[in-house]
Amino acid sequence: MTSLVSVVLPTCNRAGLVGRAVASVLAQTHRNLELIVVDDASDDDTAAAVAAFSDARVSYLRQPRRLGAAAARNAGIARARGDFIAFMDDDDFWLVQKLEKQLGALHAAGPEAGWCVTGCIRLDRQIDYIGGARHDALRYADGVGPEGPDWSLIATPGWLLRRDALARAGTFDERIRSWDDWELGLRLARVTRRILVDEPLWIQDWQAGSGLTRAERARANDLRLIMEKHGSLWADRPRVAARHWRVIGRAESLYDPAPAGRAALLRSVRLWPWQVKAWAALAVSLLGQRRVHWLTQQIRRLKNA
Amino acid sequence: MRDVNPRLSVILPTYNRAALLPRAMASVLGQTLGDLELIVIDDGSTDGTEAVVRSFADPRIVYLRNERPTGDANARNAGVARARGEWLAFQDSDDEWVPHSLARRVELAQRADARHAAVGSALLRVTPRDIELIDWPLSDARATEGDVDAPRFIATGRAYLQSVLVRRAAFDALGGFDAAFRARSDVDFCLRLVRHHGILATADVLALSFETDGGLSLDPAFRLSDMKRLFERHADLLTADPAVHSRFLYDLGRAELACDRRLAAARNALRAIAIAPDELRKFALLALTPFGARGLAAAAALRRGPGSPS
Repeated sequence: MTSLVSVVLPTCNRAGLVGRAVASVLAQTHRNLELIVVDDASDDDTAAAVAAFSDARVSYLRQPRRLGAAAARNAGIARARGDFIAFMDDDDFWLVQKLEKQLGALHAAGPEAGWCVTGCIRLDRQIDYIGGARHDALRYADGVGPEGPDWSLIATPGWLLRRDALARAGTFDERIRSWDDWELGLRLARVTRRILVDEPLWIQDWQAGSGLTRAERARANDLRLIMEKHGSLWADRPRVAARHWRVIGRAESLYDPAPAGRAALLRSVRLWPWQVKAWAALAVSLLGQRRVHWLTQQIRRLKNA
Repeated sequence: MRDVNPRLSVILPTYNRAALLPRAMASVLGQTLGDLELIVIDDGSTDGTEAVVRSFADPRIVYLRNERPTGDANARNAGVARARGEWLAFQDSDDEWVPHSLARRVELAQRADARHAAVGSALLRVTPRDIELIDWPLSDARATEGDVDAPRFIATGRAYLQSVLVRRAAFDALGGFDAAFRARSDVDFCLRLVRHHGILATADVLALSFETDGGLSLDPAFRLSDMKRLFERHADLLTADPAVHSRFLYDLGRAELACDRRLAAARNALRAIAIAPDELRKFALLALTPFGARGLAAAAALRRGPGSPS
């Protein structure tokens, strides 16, 4: 496959980590790529960190002032020459065959499939595989619906897009702070077919900086605001509303002192009692993290014995 | 071109894994730290492995071939015999390194002192059912980098060579891998290493180890003899701490049960529980002993769920 893939990497003040992301792109088995690093007006040594790579496939462009990730991605898209577009985040990294496998899948699926996502391993307080078969997001008809974001299938580092599909969907909405990827995903789902390569091909590193865990907590806040403003949208779909409340409750119970989160979780199970995850989160909230960790460790050892 | 000695030698033994090998090799050759030699030891493969290796056409590759399989330990030792690097890294054909793996380990090696014979890092063990983080227990449990806590490492009963970088001099002094072990030569090697040396480790995830169901298709009798030999060699290390001792007895009991030696399995399970009745699986093993090897296989199949390969 000799298709040119344009990889857009927006970055801001991650000079210590961005090298890792860049290296994982340059190490891809699919060699025909260009990496466009868009520096969102960093105050640190990001420029130097990128310049340290003497690979001709790397280009660096700096935003005139900090305009946010969506604008940075759009700036990168404007410069892209490839028939395929991929994105990268500065604190994550790809495994070496990611582009090769996604390109293969898109070529096999044909031109009406313009969007490929892939599973990832999330490094957080625990290690999780986020992918299709084991993940409930793709049980929804088009995988991306008004139901809500699936955090990691929506994460752009897992995407590979045909250029024409992206052109039909439009660019990232620069007014949206946290979920510009979900929002573009909604538009993409309308114009093209999405396929999944269900294996771990990249690593989403949520341990890389406390900034990200704060983001998880902040996103839960955003979701709470959305529920308060637009909750009626889901009045006839209690299952979806329940899921949102579960996400809110879980984040609150994890990051705020007890008994935070329980009200939201209770609200979730009252709306839709058939949620193992919500009950589990409630149990964790009531029992305490340490006891639950011991229990899950025992079960895991039993399973892997 | 080849007269510059690489600082790092990567040892990759392989046997009939031609389909997976490209991923393992690509992740080594694509490292940000490129000053290495990759020694691939083809241990008697019959699936076109040679053609796969040659297709990479990278001058850093050294290809060795054994016409007949000689086993992991011998294959790795043969690779090391050809190595010119000051540090040794090990890769398996179903593994993958992250692109900054060597750079990070070398960075750590530069901070290592004379006490340290190796540096280590964390890795992700990916099975069809689970992803597990395997890291080196550190003396300072809350740190992200530091000296490995040898007793707690011994307690894990596992060793993952993909996560270490070993000084060549230390490897030679330790006598390399012991071919008397059919499957656990890496565990034996690491135990010998921690007896006399320190390991400096980081919590960074630098490698992934992919395992398919079925794991080692090794004869249970060999696995049992490996465990017994480990115990003979390292009894002092393995019995020093009750938790470690108990855990080892559990592993031994399980190996006995796989060979249908029910009485021996029950005895070891009971001893494990008597020393440290702290884990559910020890009781589960005891309960399984009357059912022999078949019971063990059935329990494993149950855990894996319906519709999966046995």
